[in-house]
Amino acid sequence: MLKAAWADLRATIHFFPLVRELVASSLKTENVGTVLGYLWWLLHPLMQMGAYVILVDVILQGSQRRFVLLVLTTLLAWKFFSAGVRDAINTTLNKEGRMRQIAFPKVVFPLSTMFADMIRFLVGLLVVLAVSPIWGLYPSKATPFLLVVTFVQLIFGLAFAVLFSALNFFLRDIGNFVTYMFPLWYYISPGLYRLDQVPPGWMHYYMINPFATLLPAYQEIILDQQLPNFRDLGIVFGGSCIFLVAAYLVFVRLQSSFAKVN
Amino acid sequence: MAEFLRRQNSTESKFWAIRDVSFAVRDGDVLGVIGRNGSGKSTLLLTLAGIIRPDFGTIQTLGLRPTLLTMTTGFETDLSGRENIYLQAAYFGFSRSRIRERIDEIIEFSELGSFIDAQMRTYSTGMRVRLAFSIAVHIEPEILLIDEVLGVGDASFTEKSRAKLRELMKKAHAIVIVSHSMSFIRKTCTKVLWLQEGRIAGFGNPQDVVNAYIAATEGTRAPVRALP
Repeated sequence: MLKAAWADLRATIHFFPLVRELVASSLKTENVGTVLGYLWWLLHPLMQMGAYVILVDVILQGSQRRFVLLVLTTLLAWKFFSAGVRDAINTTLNKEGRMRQIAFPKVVFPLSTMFADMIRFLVGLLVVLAVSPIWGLYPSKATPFLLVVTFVQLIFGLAFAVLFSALNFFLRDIGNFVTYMFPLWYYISPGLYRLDQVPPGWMHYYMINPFATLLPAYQEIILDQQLPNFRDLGIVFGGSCIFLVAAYLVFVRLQSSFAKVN
Repeated sequence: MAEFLRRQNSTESKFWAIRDVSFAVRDGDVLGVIGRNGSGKSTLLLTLAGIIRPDFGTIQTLGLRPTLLTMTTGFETDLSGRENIYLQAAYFGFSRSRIRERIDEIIEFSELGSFIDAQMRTYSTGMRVRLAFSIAVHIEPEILLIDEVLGVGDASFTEKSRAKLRELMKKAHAIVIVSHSMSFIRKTCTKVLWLQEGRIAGFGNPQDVVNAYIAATEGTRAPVRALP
């Protein structure tokens, strides 16, 4: 299996122009025919943010400072992850016909969808940084480290995208799992609240969730203008790399059957 | 999950599209593959092309790249014809810079003219097929695999396509063609492989194998009742 994975990895590197073309195609064709185009990718988290602000800030009056920015940042990061995994599952399934016609490493599909969603997320982050002065926040020395956090999240998301896109080919429940269970995962991550609001007795279990490290990292850089916790980021990165390798081995093992499944 | 993985690995209750098929094709050979519908011909080509991996056995191509000549009409309809050329070529492992060298040839062969920069959703079926074929024949495979992809477009385009195929066949190191046309097989092939229910029923000299195939299939044809 390791030999097959190594051969597939070399083929994937050779086919990197295909990944580039698929990313470009995805960015060009999404929302074609609409007036708002890419803005729809931003509008979804913006509308969710609006709903949360009304609920938490206005009705419950329980929010904290800069709640709007907190929620917008974490919603964008969450969308990068959930949309990336969901798009990887859908794209791999939709390209079934192409897989029966041409030989190429199928992992290009989850790769390209995650990269495309990462680009959309980075543009969204630029929007967040552009509106931050409204709350008296300006880019700081910590701002470039957003790219580090993004990269760690990319590796983590890629592992899910690779694994789930392969499994979903044979078990369609995976797609439903992502659709219905992933939103719940957001609520048990520090997206609508800060990490220091989690009861201390729960922290030990709470920190098992990688987003308990990733989402606060974005918040610390943008809202607090501080460097993130590199130790915890390193642990998430290390674990994600191991997960990605395991996911890739499963993908390589299963991809030979993709073309056989009707 | 355990049951799912067990079924993935189990060989029980599986349908074998091809089994115990072993043969060698040398440099310069044109191998014709014949057989009735469902005999495993297309599965054989998909396996040779690397699209399906065999459950058992190996395929050795000695470093040469086998490519299935296929009418890949799975275009992105929101992209232009030109952008689809780059995307389709990338599926064959071609970078943008490499395909840029021959994109004018591809566009000219497709006869699409200024339509090449229009979105593909505006194309007719014939236009899509012409573009698909034009891309396919400019990929220049080292081992050419053909699954009866002929007869595209109108008469003049069909003739041009056949001429281009003949040109491709001269350049390839080896060719494997699936065809139901015995006259084409006899005229073109240096060897013939006859598949029956996924197994080899004959292999070797085109005349001998084709004659044996015809004799075997004539005996199984339903009689035609004469009209009163």
